[in-house]
Amino acid sequence: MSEFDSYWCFGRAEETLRSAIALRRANRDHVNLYFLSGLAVEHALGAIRTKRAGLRRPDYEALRPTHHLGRLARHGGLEEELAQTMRRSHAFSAHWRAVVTWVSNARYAKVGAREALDLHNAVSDARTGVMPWLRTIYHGR
Amino acid sequence: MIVAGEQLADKLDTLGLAPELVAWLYDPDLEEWRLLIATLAVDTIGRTKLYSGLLDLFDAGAFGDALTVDDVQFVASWERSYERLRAFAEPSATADAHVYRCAPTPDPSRAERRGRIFVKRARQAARRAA
Repeated sequence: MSEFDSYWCFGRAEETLRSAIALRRANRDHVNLYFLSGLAVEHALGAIRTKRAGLRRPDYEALRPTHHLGRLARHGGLEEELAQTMRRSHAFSAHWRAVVTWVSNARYAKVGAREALDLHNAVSDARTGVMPWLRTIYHGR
Repeated sequence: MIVAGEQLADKLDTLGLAPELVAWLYDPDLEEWRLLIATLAVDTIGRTKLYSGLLDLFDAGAFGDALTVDDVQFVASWERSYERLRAFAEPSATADAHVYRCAPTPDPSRAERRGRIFVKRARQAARRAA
């Protein structure tokens, strides 16, 4: 059951990122581009937590503050893998540090295009982005 | 911690960033102190480039145990922390803040230029130290 539910949760992460990519390609709605890019990471971290802890769904409610990606990563047991990857890759380290400052309430803020595109790239960059790294972790490669 | 924060602020000036707001601020949600660097360069060149420069800066020279790169957070003009820092009219210290500077917000083109110079000089400093 937990494998199925974490699979569903990681699917949400991928679907959310696809929505963000569509916005980037259309070069519109930068507030949502920012929000959805970070939300994809939140879902992916939730999926990893669900899978590793054998839960039926992510237990976000155990965290304060609930949407802090750094706290979610720690909650998912990713601290050591994260530290190792950051030591190996300067580019990944810069991307992670940008992503971890994601603010879920930014959907109510005047986030500019530059900031939104920057966060989206930090999440989705094929070589040193956060989502490709989370995919590798989730799928156990 | 206070001295290390001041040293970092001075180093950022030397390397051309000259952020408008620099302060240790206690985050009650995280229950942690953070050294916040508020600069319009976040809005103009993006956070990733600035963090890359910061990593280079820490690679180039240590600030001791009192300060690690994990303590430092760049803040954009749209964030609540920016508004919270803007409320300080001058350098000051309270129970949950130690404010080093409160300079006026530069125009975006100047902030962008400062950001790019900082990233370039930090890279050069890291190469020299390597």
